[in-house]
Amino acid sequence: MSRVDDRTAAWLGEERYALNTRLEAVRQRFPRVGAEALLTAVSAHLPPIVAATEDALPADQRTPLRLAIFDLLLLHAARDTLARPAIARLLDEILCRPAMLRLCARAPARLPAALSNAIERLGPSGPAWLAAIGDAAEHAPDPEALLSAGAVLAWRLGEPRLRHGALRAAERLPPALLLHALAVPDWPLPAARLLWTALSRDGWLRPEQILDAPTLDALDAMPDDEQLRLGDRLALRRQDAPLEAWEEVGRVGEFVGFGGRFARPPVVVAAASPHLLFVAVDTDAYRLDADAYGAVATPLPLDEVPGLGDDAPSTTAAPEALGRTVDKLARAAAAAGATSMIAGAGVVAWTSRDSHRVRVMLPPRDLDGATR
Amino acid sequence: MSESAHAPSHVSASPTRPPRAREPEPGFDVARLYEGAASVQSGAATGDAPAAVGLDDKMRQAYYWIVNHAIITPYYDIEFHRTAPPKFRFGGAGTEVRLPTDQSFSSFVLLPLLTFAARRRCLFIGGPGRGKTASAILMGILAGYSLEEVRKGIQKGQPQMTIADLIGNPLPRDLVAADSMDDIRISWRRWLGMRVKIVDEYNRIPTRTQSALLTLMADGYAEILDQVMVSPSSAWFLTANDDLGGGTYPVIEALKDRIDIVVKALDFNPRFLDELLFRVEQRVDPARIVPPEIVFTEAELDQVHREVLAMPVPRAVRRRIEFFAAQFDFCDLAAADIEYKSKDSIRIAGRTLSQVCASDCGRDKQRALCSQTENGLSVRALLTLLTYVKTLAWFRGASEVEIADVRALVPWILHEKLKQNETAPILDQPGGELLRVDRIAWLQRAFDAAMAEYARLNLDRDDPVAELDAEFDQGLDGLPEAEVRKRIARIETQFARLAKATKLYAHVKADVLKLKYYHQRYSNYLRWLEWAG
Repeated sequence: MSRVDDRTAAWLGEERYALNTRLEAVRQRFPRVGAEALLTAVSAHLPPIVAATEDALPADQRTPLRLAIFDLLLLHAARDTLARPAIARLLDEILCRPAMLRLCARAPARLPAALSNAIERLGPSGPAWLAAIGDAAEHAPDPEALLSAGAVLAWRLGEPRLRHGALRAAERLPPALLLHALAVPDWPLPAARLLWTALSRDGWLRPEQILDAPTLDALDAMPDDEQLRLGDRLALRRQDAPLEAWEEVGRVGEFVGFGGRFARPPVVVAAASPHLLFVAVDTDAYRLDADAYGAVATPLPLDEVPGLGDDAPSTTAAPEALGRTVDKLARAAAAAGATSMIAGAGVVAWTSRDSHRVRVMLPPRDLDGATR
Repeated sequence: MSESAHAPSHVSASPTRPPRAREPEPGFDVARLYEGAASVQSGAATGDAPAAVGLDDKMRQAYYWIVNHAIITPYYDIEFHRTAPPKFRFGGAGTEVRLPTDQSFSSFVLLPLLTFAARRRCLFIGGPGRGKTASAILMGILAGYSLEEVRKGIQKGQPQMTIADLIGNPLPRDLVAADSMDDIRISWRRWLGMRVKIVDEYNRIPTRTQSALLTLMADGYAEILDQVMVSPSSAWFLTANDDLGGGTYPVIEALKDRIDIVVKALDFNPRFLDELLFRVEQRVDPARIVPPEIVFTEAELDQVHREVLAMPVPRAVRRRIEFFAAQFDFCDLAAADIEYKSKDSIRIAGRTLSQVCASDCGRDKQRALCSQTENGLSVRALLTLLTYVKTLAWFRGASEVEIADVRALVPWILHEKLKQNETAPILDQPGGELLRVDRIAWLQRAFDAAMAEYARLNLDRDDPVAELDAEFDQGLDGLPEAEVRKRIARIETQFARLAKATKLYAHVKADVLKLKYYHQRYSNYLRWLEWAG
């Protein structure tokens, strides 16, 4: 173990018993990890935390937070995950920021560990999430708000399974924090409520499609009731529009499928909503959560796909069999080489034999007369 | 031994190991976003109580009950160590005895229990009276069946056993009255629906009936007169008195191949005669006194299976398994193209490895593991290995699979799957004769040698494919053309570096083929980008 600075050494001396107990607990849980590796990690990562907490926090808040971060440090050292750039950045930089430290001091046993877990859960988007939540801490009034903003961030960075939960969390967020989480930090504060309303209704819209520049300029001067009416109209779609007027809102999957390694392009077999489709490859079925921010395919047993039993809807079929229900669209899809199509639950989705993509179509937006 | 220790209702106190927080594999929602390896709710900082013990602890209680009260097997041949063990060498053949420094186990009880938890297929071999059938019966009782149900469910292999004896028969009245095959009802044997299936002396079953057994074991269904019964996912226990197929009928290769693990009944240590005496005097029948605390419900068994499958295999462990597995199938002299440098090519050409390996290939054949086997590892063998190491890690209460779990199981899973090359130079070395007989020791040494080589090559830090793996795992969607070209160039640079720095060793072949795969995937994607504009 290399030598640590005097400040860190003094704290290590003060808390020797508590720290040794933690060290031993980790060694029991990870018996293959040597004490030397743990101590090396501590000497490399703990001093910045000790210094930052000393500068940013009152004396009585420092030790509980340092102990919590020490636990986190040992855990990652034992699991050999300290070398991951996002984990290292969390420990060496993000947790040392004054705003983040003040939030963590209010929930020492919860917040640092939660941030670390989220980075690991989010995988490839973990580093981007960490950067964004580090900045969001500046706007968060308390740890709860920061974690709620984290849910919105995770959704926005490509985790559509979090859409409903993130929107529920977003409802309680201060406008500035929500705008930050939605990557439009410079928009006027009234835009936050409008965006929340529109995004709750239509997951295939992004903020920049919802509000244009003239509308944003006019928002500050707009009375509350007018803002409410606008919010109601922004995400409306013309459900009675003829099928040929429906627009493609997303191509889910792109070149390699949904991160899966399918042997051949999937077929779409059911739709529960515009954001929840079910696809199949041979006898393997997948739940496909998708919206404007991303798509995730989760394997599930074939018999759990809604409507794949005797009560299967007539629209779940190859295009040539769709004549009874959506004849025109089916002909168009068949002409375009579609291998499957589903129409229902407010969405049309189809696939083709030359691609892993699922094309998602919705009715056109109803913007007549609405300021946008 | 004290009277209370003899009491057969005694179950080892839980927890049987220090508990640890297990991470169940959850669905993904906001509540789960912040859960994971780091303890959010409690954390050591808050001094919360340790996590409650789970089904793994119940399984360990079952283990200890069996070894303490049911099967006298005072052996700790599956060893684990937390620190370097004390070792003692004895004269004669130079036998070394180690004293384990972590909880260690008897293979004869542990491996069937792992099979039970993982729902795999286990063969007990050994002479009569060694507890093979008794162990299998205990597994049935642990699954919640009564002793009578288990006994009725046992299929006893004998030379006259027919397919009807094994899986059922059409109802005679329907055979006469039916207008079509669909009208014939089948009386399926009840054991087909059990979660623990026992086939006693399977090497006495006639060949044709073995084929029906194979369908049931391999594909999970039975078929009579175009009618099919699907059997639930279950653990299989087969017994054979003679070693692997020397019974009344030869066991068909495909059936042998479906057996995941072979457990040898060990001999009785006469120093434990007092245990035996106690049982005689007290008329103890362990199968009748299994404590209810260690019996698993159907829902618990389903949960066990889910927990086992969710046990993570960290990259460092996975890479070591990959490295070890890569050693055996490779033969540089088997073909001109890298894709066909496999022992399968030799076998298909009607030759043997010992014939081909006699030529010089520029490798040190004392050290190269590829020279030690006639065949490589099948996908099925690897799947079995992965399942069992996950189960063992779960059983030991670990949070993830450790390399010690792999080391403990490799010999047991592979010793019927890897065929030793009897002309391998290492077997002619001092001590080599022992390795011809003791395949457990042979495989353990091979594994240790592979791990030493892995460490020597510093592959944890200098992995030529790791960075490309990580990049590729993020997907190709939205990857710009310039980045694709950069990655293709980097793959080609890596090829050049490898070609210059090393011979085509077995593990290098695996790396090269993966690099070639990435090169092709990126090239195809690049062409698609160009085409799509």
